[in-house]
Amino acid sequence: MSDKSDKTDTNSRMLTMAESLREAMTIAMTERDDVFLMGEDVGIYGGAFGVSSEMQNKFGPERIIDTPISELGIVGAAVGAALAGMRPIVEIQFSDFTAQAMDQIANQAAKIHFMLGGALHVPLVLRTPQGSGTGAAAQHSQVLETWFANIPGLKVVVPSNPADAKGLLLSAIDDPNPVIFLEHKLLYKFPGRDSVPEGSQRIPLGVSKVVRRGSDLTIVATGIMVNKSWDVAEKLAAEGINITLIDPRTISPLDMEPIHESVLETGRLLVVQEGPSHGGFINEVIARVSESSTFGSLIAPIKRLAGMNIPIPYAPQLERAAVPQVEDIEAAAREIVKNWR
Amino acid sequence: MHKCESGKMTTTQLLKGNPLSSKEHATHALLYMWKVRKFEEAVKDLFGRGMMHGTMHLSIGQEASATGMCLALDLADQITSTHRGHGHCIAKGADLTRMIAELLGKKIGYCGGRGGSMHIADVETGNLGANGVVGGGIPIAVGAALASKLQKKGTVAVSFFGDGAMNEGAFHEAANLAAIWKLPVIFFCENNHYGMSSSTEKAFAIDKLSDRGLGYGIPGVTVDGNNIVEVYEAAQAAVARAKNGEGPTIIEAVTYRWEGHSRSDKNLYRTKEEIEEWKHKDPIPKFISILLEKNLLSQQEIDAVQQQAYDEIMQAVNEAVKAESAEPSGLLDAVFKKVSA
Amino acid sequence: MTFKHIVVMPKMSMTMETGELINYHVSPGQHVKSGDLLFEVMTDKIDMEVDSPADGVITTLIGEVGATIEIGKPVLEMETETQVISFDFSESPADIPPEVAAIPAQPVITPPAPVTPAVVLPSSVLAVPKARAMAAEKGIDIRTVVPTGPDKTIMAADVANAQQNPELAKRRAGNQALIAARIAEGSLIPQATFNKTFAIENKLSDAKIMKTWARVLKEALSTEIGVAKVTPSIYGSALPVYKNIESMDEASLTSLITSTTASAANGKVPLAMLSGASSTLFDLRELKLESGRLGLLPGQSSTLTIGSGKKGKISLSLTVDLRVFDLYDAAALLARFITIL
Repeated sequence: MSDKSDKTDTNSRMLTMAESLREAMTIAMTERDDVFLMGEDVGIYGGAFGVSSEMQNKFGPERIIDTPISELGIVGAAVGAALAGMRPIVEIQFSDFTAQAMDQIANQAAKIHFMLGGALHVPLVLRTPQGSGTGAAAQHSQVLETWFANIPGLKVVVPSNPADAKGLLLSAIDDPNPVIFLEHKLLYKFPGRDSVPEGSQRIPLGVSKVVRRGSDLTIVATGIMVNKSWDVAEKLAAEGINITLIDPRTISPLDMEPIHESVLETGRLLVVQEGPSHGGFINEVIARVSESSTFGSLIAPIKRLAGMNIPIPYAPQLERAAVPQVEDIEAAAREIVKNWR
Repeated sequence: MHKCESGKMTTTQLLKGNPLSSKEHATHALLYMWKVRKFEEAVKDLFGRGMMHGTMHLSIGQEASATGMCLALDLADQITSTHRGHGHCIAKGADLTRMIAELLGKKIGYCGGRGGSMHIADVETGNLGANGVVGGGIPIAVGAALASKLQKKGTVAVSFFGDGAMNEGAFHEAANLAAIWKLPVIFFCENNHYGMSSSTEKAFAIDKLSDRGLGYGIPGVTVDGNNIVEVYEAAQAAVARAKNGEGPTIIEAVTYRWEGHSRSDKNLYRTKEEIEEWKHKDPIPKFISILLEKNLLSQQEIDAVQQQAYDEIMQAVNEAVKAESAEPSGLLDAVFKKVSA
Repeated sequence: MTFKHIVVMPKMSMTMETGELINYHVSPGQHVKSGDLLFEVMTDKIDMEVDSPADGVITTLIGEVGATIEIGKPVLEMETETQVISFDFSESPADIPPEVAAIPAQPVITPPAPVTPAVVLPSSVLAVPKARAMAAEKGIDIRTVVPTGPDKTIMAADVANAQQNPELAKRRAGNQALIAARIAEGSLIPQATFNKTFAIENKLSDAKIMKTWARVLKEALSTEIGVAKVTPSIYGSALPVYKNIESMDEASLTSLITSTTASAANGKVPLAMLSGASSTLFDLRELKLESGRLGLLPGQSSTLTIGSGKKGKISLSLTVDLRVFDLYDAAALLARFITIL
């Protein structure tokens, strides 16, 4: 393999997310015989975003399976294979195309364990890239985390960096339930802030991460917004504004504990997501804070930054304007801290 | 023999083999057809008394297609079924008490009262579940066949579906996957001429639905779905093909349902004459006349079988009715399978 | 052998609870075949037919034509040649499955119910949750807190500032209410207001102004003169009354003013200075106000305000009780006042 996973030198463990995901799948497929990957162009081509590059050479065409363009059929077959005792990872090339497969995702995979009274379960991982910024326009740029978060029976994971992505994917593959694993396209090619740990350590699902601590403002963000918020937090720290940044990582089931703890301390909450605001997932965080006693600790109204309620436009300046950017997050953070005591 | 003592449910798989091959085989085949018939009549009665919630999709008149196919299967072979799936479920060996209990919303029901008529699965007998979505089970069966092939289990998967499902995208995607990968799956279409109210004449531009296989490179055969022997022979050939690594087969069993689509169907789309005409082609008397002709069973023996079926249904219902109702506590915990530490 | 069978009013749709028996198509003693029409039922404005479940003879017609019969209740009795699958739970009511029971409320994963404020008053102020919580905790009326947040929202910091002396807020509110009430009372007195600006080179001390005004009034009224001076206090405004100051020397009056003002600032006004005012004086120059009018207070015959005026001039506003002073008297008072100064 031409990736960097063989080296043990810390510097070269700054893997890109594509590399760290590949590492996770390789570990899982080496540990167990019943894990396999299927999807369009995952085999010979190595995946549209290179995530499964060279894996078919290592594991063979029966474990890295190229499929025709049949999202509904592929996901359905994955459900069937899962019911029959295997652990399929199915890759849908763009999260927008999960729409083709929605019956198998929402009506079958999500509901089988419940509907059948626990007689069967669906240990399936559906990996798919989401997000805008590549100029791919409306039908290839959506963030649909809220669709899945609103279907009981699915677990939904949104990693924000390569190190987390590896540990989370390993846990997702272990999980006996269907997991929707949403990867941001823009993160595939870049290393994160942290090096990716060696070995097969899992990061449990359903545990939020406090990325940094500060007592002036709480920011809760998902996906790529975590990284943008980090940049803002770094800059404002130099000015004496200290921010707690929380990355839920698993958005369903959602771990609210550190969020409550932090809001009780700071009294100020800013939530940031890429997906459109109306009905977006991040509203769940706001709802849970508002309906609990944490509400009484707020010294400022809760501020929400989210995508515009429009399909993602094509031209780069329009595409940029459609979702929150670093400067938007910075302005919002300053405003809350300055105006509300 | 089907045992059913309270607290201990056991089911016996159908005696595999040609129904005309021995007295024993004939008895079993006739018994199971009667069980399906009596079961559906019981459901009709109970529903008519307001004891069952929702609606029921009865398969009276289609007993031979379900039983004939299952006579060719082992316990380990898998099936997926439809909203009209009581017959498939029973023919594959399910416990009658647990089935009625499910329809009555009891704790001991197959799904603990959470699934209802359309979602009954029985893992022990290879039943991966009935499905409320038309065509929902087709890709799942293909997936089970995929798992069988990848893990070299040597089992076969059967997807039961109706004429209506043949127009769902799921059928087409699944058929193609099965064909290109030569999966051990049988596409068993029960053509009862109506997808709810739309007749096959209006929904198809072809006469023989098994011809659909041509488009995918899958051999198809059309049989008289009310002739259990004809159904068995086609089923057996398809199973042999599959186990031989030759891939999928489409079996079109032409049959008819006596009752409306569901309990609220006012039969506005078909005539009384048509229903009467098909009642004369009742699969059970058809089989009985063959048995008498071939001197396989005497009239006395035949009557005894019917009595046995009647008794078993009565006992199952009386037991199920007395069972404890399902409760709402524990619903939240029923969504996900617990992750083992 | 024949079997007794009762045909009940069947449930023919999900929501049907009763049916109207329209007419019978059979009569007692009549032989029927399976599928023959027995009677017609009207439900949901639709005419439905009920057929015979088996071959047999009608024995008794139970239901009355035109009657509305509950589902599950008997309509007619017949004798059948084959045993009809039928369940009669009318004597010992079966364990009817419960209607869809209420789903227990989603358990709130967060800390318990919000803090209820100790003081329940209709509030028309905007305040952040923390501010309300703090105000409630300290027994402060939130309406008395001065908002300094955006959109005149009371912030936590504002309550913290108001929080030093909880009694204070009450006293302030009380004091303010008292003044308001007295002005309201005074507004009923027939009064007129006259304004004059004048230029003066010398600095005008408080003592000089007060002493002069007292002297002017003494000359006009000949009664004992008390001048109430509007003075700032922690409770809002205080109005200590300076009596018989017209003949006091300036130095003594100055020190009296100083000490009284200092006491009043702390909320203490000597008992003797709490009553006996003939007039109220309000020096607006310390507030940098150009001019202003103060209405009469009950028991007083005039109020005088002194503003900083424009371009170095002093502006006077005199309001007089018309029962005491004639319309031309006011002008005279002002003229005299200015002359002496």
